Formats: sequence, C-alpha cells, structure tokens
Amino acid sequence: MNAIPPPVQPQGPNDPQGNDGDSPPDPAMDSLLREWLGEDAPPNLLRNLDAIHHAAKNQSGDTPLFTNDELIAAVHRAFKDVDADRRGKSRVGTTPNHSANPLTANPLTRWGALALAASLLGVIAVYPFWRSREAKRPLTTQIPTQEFPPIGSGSESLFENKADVAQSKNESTPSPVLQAKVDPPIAPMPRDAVATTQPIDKSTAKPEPKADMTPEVIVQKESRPPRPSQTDSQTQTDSHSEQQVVAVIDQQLKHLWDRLKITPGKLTDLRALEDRLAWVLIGRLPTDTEREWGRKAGAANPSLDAARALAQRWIESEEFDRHWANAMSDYYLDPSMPIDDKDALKVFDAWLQESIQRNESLGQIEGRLISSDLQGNDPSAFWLRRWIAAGKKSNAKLLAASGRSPAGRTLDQWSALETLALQGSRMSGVPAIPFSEITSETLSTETVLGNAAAFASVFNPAQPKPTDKKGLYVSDAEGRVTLVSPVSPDGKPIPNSEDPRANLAKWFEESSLARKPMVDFVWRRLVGQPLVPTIGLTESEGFEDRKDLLDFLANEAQTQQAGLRQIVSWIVMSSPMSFESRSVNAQEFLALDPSVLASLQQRTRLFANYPATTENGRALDRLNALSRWTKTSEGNPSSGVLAQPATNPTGAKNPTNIGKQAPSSPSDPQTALAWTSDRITYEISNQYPYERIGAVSLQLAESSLDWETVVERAFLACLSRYPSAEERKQATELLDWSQGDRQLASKRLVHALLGHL
Amino acid sequence: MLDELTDSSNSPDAAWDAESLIAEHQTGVWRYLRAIGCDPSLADDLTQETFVAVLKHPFQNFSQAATASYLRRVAFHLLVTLRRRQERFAVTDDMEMLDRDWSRWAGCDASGNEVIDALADCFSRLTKRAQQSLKMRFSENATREQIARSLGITEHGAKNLMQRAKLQLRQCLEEKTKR
Repeated sequence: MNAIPPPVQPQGPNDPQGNDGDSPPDPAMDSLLREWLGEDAPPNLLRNLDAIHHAAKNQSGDTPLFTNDELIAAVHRAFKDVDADRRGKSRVGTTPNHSANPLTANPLTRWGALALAASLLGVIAVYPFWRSREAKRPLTTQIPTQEFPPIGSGSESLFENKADVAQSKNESTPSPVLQAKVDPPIAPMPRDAVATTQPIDKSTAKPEPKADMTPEVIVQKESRPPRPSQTDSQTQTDSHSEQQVVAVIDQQLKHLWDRLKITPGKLTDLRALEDRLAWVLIGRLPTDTEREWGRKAGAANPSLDAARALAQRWIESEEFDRHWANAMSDYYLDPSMPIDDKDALKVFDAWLQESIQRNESLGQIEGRLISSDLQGNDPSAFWLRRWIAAGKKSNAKLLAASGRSPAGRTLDQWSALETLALQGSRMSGVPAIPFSEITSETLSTETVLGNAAAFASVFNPAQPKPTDKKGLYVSDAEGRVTLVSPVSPDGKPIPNSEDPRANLAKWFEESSLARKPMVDFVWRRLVGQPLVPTIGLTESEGFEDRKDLLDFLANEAQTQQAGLRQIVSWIVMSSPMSFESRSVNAQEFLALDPSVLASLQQRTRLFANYPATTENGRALDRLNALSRWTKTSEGNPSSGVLAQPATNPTGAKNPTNIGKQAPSSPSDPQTALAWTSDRITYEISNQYPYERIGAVSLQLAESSLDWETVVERAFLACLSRYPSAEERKQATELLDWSQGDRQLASKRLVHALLGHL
Repeated sequence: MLDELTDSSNSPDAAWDAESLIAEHQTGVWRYLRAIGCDPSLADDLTQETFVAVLKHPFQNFSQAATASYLRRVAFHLLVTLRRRQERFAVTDDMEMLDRDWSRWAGCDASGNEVIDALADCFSRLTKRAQQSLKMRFSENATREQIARSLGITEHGAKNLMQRAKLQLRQCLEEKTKR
C-alpha cells in the first residue's frame, strides 16, 4: 500500500469522496474503495522529513500572535475604515442610531455575490468615478457654481437654489430657512398632487396640518419650467406605476437571489443608507439638518421611511439635476478624452441639466441630440464634432452620427454603429446584428457592407466625394459611392424618408431598445454593477433574470416616456438600495467558489480602490497592498493588520493584544510588512490552493469549453486577469505536452498559476 | 491523557524518532482523515500538519495504539479548526460518528492495512455485477449513467445496486474487524 503514489485525481467540489450521487454519503467506505480500487494513495511524508522538522522547530513554543478570527476582524475593520475614509469622515463618533432605524424591522436581507456587489453602492462606486471626472476636466469647463446652491450648506441644501430662497423671502411669509431651523417642515411625497399643484397661502393664519408641512421649495417652482410628471392627472398614474415598477424590481431580484441560494444578511442602518442615497443622488453627504428633516418626515409618514423621504426630496432638487447632468455628460462624452471646446462643453452640460430639469424623456434627449442643428454651440453639434474629430471608431456614441454624416466619414460611422449593436447585444441579451453582417436587402440600395476595401474607397481621393451632408454613404464593389438609409441597431431598416437623420432620431425616440444602455448606465451608477453583466458571467449568475429586468425597465421607460428622474426613483426605491454596505474581507474572498471569483472581483471592485494596489492583481499582492494601506487607518494604529505588534511581551495573559498595544515598530513599515506578508501567505496557502486546485481544474477540464476559453477562465479564476498572447501560446503547448489530456493539462495549468501564491 | 502521552520530561530514555513515527503512522493518519471526510489533497496536507503539530513538542511513544489514537485526535482537531476557519457547515457530529467508525475498524492497527485487507476479502464476496459497478465507479470514475448502460439496467437500478453493495461491504467489514 505504500507504493509511489499515483497522481491524485481531482475531485468535484461537492463530491470529495466520489460518492455516487443520491445515495447516503459514506465517506469512510468511499475512501476505502477509492483507495483500493482507484488511484488514491497515502502520501510519503518521509520525503518531506526535513521540511516537517523545520516547520515543527520554527513553530515550537510559539503561541500564534493572532487567531484567524482576529485576523479576519482586523481586515474587516480595515474595510470599514476604507468606507469611512471615502465618506470623508472617521468612524469614530459616527455610531449610527440603530434604535431610530425603521429599516431594522424589515427582515428582508441578502448576502452573496449580488449583495456583495451592491454593497459598495454609492460610496466606492460613484465617488472615485466622479472625482476622476472632475480631475480630468479643467475647472474652467465645469458649470459655474454660483448658479447652484452651495454644497452641504446645512438646511439651505434642501432648497432648490438661492434664487428660490430669495424669492420666498420677498413674500410676506415666514422665511423658509428660519422655518426649517425652528421646525423643519415635513414634505409630502414629491408627486403629491395637492402639494405641487395647490400652493398653500401661507399668509393666512392656521394652516392645515398637512398643508403646513408643505415645503416652500415646492411652492416656489413657478420660476422653473413645469415638470410633466407633476400634473394632477399624471401624478396618480405615475405614483401607482412607480410602485408597480419598484415591486417588479424587488420581486425579480428576490427570485434571482432565491434561485442562486443567496443567504440572508441584514439591512443597512439608517445613517449609512442616508449617506449612500445622498452620494448617488446628489454627490455629497447629507447635512445634519437634512438627516433630522428626513427622520421627522419618516415619523410623520409611516409609509415612507426617513431615508426614502430624503431621497424623494433629493431627486426633486436642483442638485440632482446638476449631479446627474454631469453623469450623463460623462455617459455621452468620454471624460478620458481631452476637451478642447470648453465653452461648448459648458453649453452641453447646461443643456443636459435643463433637459433633466424639464423631466424630458430619455428618448427626447437622445432624439434631440441626433436631430438638432449642426451650427454653433448647439449641444448636438458639439457632441457630434467631438466624436468625429476624435475619430474613435470604437465609441458607441457615434451612433447618432450615422444619421448626418457631415464629412462623409461613413467608415467611422458604420464602425460605431456596429460597435453599439454588439455592445447593446451584450448588455441587453438582445441578439443584435453586427452591421458587417447586414445584407444589402436591409438597405435601400445595392451596397456591399463589411468589405473593407469598398469602405476604404470612400476615402480614396480618386473616388467621387459625397456631397449630401445628411446622408450615409457606402460604396459598392465597383467603388460607386451611394447614399443609403441608416439601419437601427435591432437590424430593422428605418423607414425611408428624405432625411435619414430625422428617421434615426425618430427611432431613438420610439424604440425601447434604445433605452437599454441608459437604463443600464443608471442602474450601474446607483447599484455599483451593471444590471446585465457583460463579462465572465454565466447563467448561474442570474443572467436571464437580469436581462428580463433590464428589458422590463427599458420598456417601462419607453412606455411611460420616463425621464431620468423617474428611472432613478424606481431604482432608488427598490430593495437593492437598502442592503448593508459590506465589503468582502480577505478570508471570504479567498474562500469563494473559484467559478465566481473573477466576476465577483470585477463587480465588487475588491481592493480596486486602494492606493497601493499592484499592477499584476494577484491576491497576495492585493492583501499586501491592503495591509500597507491599513497601517495608519483611522489614526488608530491598532486597527490595521499591519499595525499589530510583532511580539508578545505580555505572554499568556493576553496572547493576542488586539487593540491593546501600540505597534512595535510604527516607523518601520517594512518590518511590519514582512510579518504581515508571511502571515498572509500562510493564510492563503493554507486554504486556497491546496483545497481548491482539484476543484478548479476539474471544473474547467470537464466543461464543454474549448481549450482557449478554459485557459482564459483559469487565468481569471487564479490571477484575476486575462492571459497574454504569449501565455495563451504556452497554455496551448501545455495541452500538447499533456498529450491532449485536458484534465491533466488543466490541473498543471492551475497548479502553475497558483504556484506563485 | 494527552499530557501523559506527550510529556517526556520525566522519562528521557524514551526518546522518540520522528522518522519512524512518520513511517509507521502516516498511512493510518491519512486513511483516517479520508474516512472522516477529507478529499485526498486535503488529507495529504493535514497528515503533514498533524506530524508538524506533534513534533513541535517532545513526544513519548508509549505504545503504537496510544500513539495512533493521539495522532488521530490531533488530525481530527486540525480538520475541525480548518472547517471552522472556513466557516463551513457544522460537521462535528458527523465527524465524531465517522471517527468512531474508523476507530472501531482500525483498532490497534496503526496503518489501517488490516481494514484494507478485510475490505478486499469482503469485496470478493459481492456478486460480479456489484463488483463491476463499484469498480467502474471508483476505479474508472464512471457516471451512474455509464454504469447503468454497461450493466443493462436503469440508472436507478445502478444506484440501488451500488448502495446495496456498499451496505454489504460495511456489514462484512464490521464483522471482520470485530474484536
């Protein structure tokens, strides 16, 4: 029985003993049979005798400085520090008032991949994005701040702008500011018909209880364009349909979580929820006055808790318009590109803000982008010029450009259309037709598409130049340039008319398909991950449910002619916004099922926001980066992993000293880092590779994927990145070297990839 | 009891030899770990960890049976600690039961070779079809569908056949290892 052990057969993750399916598990008998009949064999540790001696000697007499639980707690604290830091405040002294949290009464909670992704809602997901955008744009290109209320200015932040406040002061009514300070009024539901359409005459004496609580800011909206959703008749309809939409979102996600067996966690506390909502809705933290106002509003209206009451107010505020105008501007204009025409950018941003303020539907906004005039600082013209000048074939925003073609650059336009179609397909699950595969039957003229040579002839000086600025040009096999009609991304030809651009704009206004990218963008911005993930996910991640939800939301957006405000409101009022903000700690991260590891990493952006994240993205390096970062977290040296004492002077009385002792060498991070690194290496190697190598390699080998995809998945699972071309080549050679045995090759590959840990 | 087994300060003559300790007991510890639910690679790791843990302190080998028992306890605790660390399901009760099973079968046999010999004898008493089904399952990693096809029975039949065969093996093993 002690012969040289054959290679250990990898076992399935749920079938470690090779148990035959449904029969009662009998690991003792199974292990005996597998050893006697199969290839399992005990190890020969005599070959490792020196290593065992060495390990035993090194460990002898040592009490572990920290138990594993303590390490986990330390890492967890570090993550909380990150959250706190990103909110711009210390955790010290910010203990939420749990007793005042009406949410804790609701047991509906969740846990798992989706929960983890949604956990980083606003704070981590939005803040860096926003900041990077701000950083990339010159200050002079941003919308002048004097047009808007100061950020975080106490109770005034609840009001639309200073002009409104000033106007209200001119009335013979009490100052809204003073009134707010004395007894902040409780706002009704923003779409409350009485509140919005029947201003209360505040000069009269005793107001009705409800009317008295009407915030002046809503009364003072005469100076602003009326919002379509605030009419009497529509208010009831919208309110009702909003509840339905929210219910569908909740139901769909609950179904998804049930199906994925996501186990329950808990709801976030009220303060964190307020922070989160404020970040995603208006881009700042709430003021104390706002918090107080929200709690009173929540107390006054049992159907509306404090955070949601606040959210409704923020959604109706001008800060929301400004914040989301910038977000949409980022969506339509790639912020990573240099901006030359700063004046035009200001106009563009202001135009978006105005559109949001008027509650224009997304179809209207995008239709206007396509169909408006090309002259001057028109937002649409700026948008088009920017993309055409950049010559970015890969950017989907060029879609609208296909309708106008001012310079006859049909290649760029077609390329952009195709890109959008493919992106839309990935995002929505709708099988879009790549434009290179569209047959000539879908076009009004006989053209050859997908022929690079034919396209190139458009730019050939010898060929005739197109003259019509409103057409879309392709050339046929003989090099004749022909005007054609554009095709919508769903592959259906847009009806012929004399103005293809107007047709495309019409399609954009009327098609629910065109709503999907923006709905997905809003969802991603609010929840922190795409509604329909586009990479590395399978059906087990709930693709179908999510696709259905995206379809539903896009259809609703189109049917109701919903504006951005309404779509945001649907998502904000749904359950995903309420769950606890939770980060995956290192232990949990490493214990995850390898099949979801890569995607989870991408979606949670675990470690992604740390300043010292290393370039190769390996788990160990990230943990090291984490430990570096936590060294000085919160100003409390004992709260970070790295800052734990490396010695144990107090002995058995308090062997761990967690939180009890200053670091032994706070000025020498390298020393402390070395200890942390060793410790973390031990933790990783003890749990991750040995236990999971077999499962990972077997899963990959037994899949129906081709070898190239297997290699890609292995790299994603083990190193969280895609393989390079050279690595792909080597992996192919590995399969040959293993004589085509996929299991063996897969095992070798995973071993090699994890061997660095 | 553990203190008695591990404290060698009072009997310096009873020197222990790590090499012979590992040689004698590594197979038994590994089989024990497999029997209580470890997969092969984890059993490999924990076997090594068991000896590392034991060799950290002076160790006195009172008897082979006592040492085997001590090593099994160490291995057991290492596995429980690992599972707790991983926040896995609560397995202690099942593991205790499996632990008792193995201890009953192996008894004083440090390596567990007698159990394997008994299993071989019991296996030969099974019907040919039962033997073939288990061989296909554990030697060739065949699926239940393949086994059923090979034996000309339904999948459900194959499942019942293997289940009954393993039950008979267990009963036979209990009989043979009764001491």
